[in-house]
Amino acid sequence: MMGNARFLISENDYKAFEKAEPLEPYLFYLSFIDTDDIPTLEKALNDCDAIAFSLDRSTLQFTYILEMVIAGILLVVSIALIIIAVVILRFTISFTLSEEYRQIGIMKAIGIPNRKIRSLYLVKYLAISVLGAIIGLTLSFPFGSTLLKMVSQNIVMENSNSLLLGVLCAAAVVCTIVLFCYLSTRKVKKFTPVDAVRSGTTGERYKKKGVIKLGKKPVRPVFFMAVNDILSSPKRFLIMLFTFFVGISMLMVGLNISSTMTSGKMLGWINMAQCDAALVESGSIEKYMVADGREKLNQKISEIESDLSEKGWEADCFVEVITTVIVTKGDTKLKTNGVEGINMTPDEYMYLEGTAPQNKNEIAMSYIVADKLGAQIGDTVTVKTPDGETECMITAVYQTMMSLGNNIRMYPGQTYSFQNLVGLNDLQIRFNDDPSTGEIEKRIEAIKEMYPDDKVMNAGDYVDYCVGGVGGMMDGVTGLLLPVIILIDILVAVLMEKSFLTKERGEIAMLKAIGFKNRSIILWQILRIAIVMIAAVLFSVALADPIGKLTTGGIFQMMGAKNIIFDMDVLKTFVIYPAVILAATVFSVFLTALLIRKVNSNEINSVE
Amino acid sequence: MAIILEVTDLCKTYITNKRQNNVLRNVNFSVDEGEMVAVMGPSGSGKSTLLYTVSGMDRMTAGKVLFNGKDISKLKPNELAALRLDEMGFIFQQMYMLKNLSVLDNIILPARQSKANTLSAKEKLERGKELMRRLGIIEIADNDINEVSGGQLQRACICRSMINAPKMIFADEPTGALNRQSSNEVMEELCKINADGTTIMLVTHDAKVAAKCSRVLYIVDGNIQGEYNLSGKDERTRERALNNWLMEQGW
Repeated sequence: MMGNARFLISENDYKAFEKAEPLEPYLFYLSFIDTDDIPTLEKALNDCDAIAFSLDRSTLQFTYILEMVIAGILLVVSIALIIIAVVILRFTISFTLSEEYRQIGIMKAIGIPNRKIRSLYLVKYLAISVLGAIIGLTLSFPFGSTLLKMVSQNIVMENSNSLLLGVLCAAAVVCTIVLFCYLSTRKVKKFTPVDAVRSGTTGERYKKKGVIKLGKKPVRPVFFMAVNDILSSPKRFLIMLFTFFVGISMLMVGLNISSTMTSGKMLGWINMAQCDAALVESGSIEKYMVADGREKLNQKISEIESDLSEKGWEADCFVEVITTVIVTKGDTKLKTNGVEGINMTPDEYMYLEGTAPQNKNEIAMSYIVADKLGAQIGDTVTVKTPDGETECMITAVYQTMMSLGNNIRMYPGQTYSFQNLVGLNDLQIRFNDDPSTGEIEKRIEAIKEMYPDDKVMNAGDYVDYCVGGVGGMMDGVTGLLLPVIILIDILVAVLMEKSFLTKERGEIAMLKAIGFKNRSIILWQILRIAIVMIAAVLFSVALADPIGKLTTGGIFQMMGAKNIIFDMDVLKTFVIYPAVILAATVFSVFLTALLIRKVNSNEINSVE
Repeated sequence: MAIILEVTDLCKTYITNKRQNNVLRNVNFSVDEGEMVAVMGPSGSGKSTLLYTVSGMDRMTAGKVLFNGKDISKLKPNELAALRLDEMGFIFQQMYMLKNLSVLDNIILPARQSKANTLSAKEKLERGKELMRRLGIIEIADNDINEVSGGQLQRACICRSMINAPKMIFADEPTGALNRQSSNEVMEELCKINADGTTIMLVTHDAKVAAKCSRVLYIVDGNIQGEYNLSGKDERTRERALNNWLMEQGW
């Protein structure tokens, strides 16, 4: 649990291990105390020194936060897909009714009431949604099992895959869809028998159309026509703009989270200083969490710096140690983690407010700890470490996702009892000559050869290592999202294009008749959707950061970071992925627009 | 007068449900430059099909059509489109225009699209306005097409057909959707255009309209049954004379 790998072994094996070596130094005891009186329990635990860490139930639930990030993103994407589905449904119904205005008008003319006409459509939609629900329910069993398998790697879950629940959910979906369809068929009331007779134009509903004038503007007519169509009938294109925008935005959010989680910037949010490389030393806990651990650690740091210097690379090597501290402010006591840098000062970190601690009587604390204590910058608190108590002033507040934001940052030298450490992070290396990314990779390869028993990685990989490979998982999610978004955009674009072709058959025939070539007309059709698509991409790019914060900021805040600055892979996020979506969508529109070849210019007097 | 349109053994066949429908059967006729020819005939006789086929809007099944010396049966679709854009003008019964463009923009649209029309954008705009002035509709230049009457719109369609200074205008029932007054106005404009040297071929059901033309072709069951020359006939008597002739044809 909580990110620790474990093995379940048999009693016999355990006994064999016990005989081979005393297990006492390795033993940790996990206690579960069932109480609702959390404040009293916390107070009691604060007074007990032997406890490495204690968490309440709600905090414990957050220990699966990385899985929750993925689940949260999938939830956001699912909501976005539902919104898109609803928009498409609304559009499809509206389009169908517009197409059938004549039949509706005639039905009205012969005295069929609105209610009956709407019920004709509802029966059709009911049948389609029931069929869809059956297919969805059937597919939910294999897909559901696959998803549960992925989750159950980390959580023991009982099988609650109930058929009855599935059926009830499917029935609820059908009812919701039919209700939505009923509301969407209100347009039937607007059609009159006169519409049927006058080919849908009664003359009284004309609205001003043209917004811009071609005049002597030096633009190609088809480009002008495309822009003018969008500006003249923005409502027609709004659905498409919205759908494209939502889809691309979701993709960008996923990509930004993915690139952020695998970037070195994440180091700051997990309470670590920026570095170029990290060295994960095997057996470091046994080596340094001993009485003379500080000396050993300082010696190791000096060795590494010296080794690097011999290679001609001036670099700083540092590490962070974590101890359990009790912070008291007035009557409020809080057991939390104290983080302290070795061979570094607190200036290396990022702060939301205030300045870094400058001596042992100053500390910085996460805003979560500050909130719990009701403390703010300038307040004095008592910090109790295994080595004693110190009155410290709070000089800064920061955000961190380490320990879900439950820690304070101390000035180096407060902790001497290394045997009482809760943990220590890995050795970080920062080169002083500001090398390029390529040069860093070269040096990392050389360091690997110097320390063959240890893991050496760049800052981005180290973040991914620290957060349990969630960046890789996010890459998988966004990789899955891309074809889904493309499919949705294609579906919407093709539906819209088909509706345009139907509605504009007369205009297309006329353009052909007066000498417009097929390719010009196809270009006109494509340009409109391409322009809308480009607008959606631009909106998505402009709003990527606020939308990212809006949709996933809550999750990061729960993890302890309230001010996330996404690290954007500009090429991938703003160029490659949008270009792929744009190309796929435009190509599908092109294929659909080829249908204009079937429109004959001689249809001009017969089209409705 | 030189021949601008020469039609030889023109056939057009539609196949519907495996059944062959011969709409035009070995049609032969020609039109001289500067002529104004009306095509008349009963419903379903093939009048509109004839117009669309000789103007390159529809492919012929057999025969030969020479327009201004070019065999349109041998032209590729893009070449045909270019021919229609640059050398022909079209007027239809339904006054189709792009609904999102103003009347003036609709008129100048073919000029802006044409590569053969070498006028500048400004000159094309001025030509559009000039045509509108000539046809008395300049006041609706900036209006939407929904804001003008049918007669005004049909005159705007005439302007559009004239914008690239075509050699010949093809009109399919140009007055079919208009009231009598608008119909007279439109025909007056077409006659003026013809008087200025533009050849016109129009399809009509209306003997009054056909009487304004110099020649009438009467088509029955895809064949030209007869033709009546009205040129040189007295203005007051030509309609009656045409009616008499049409009655002889079985009108």
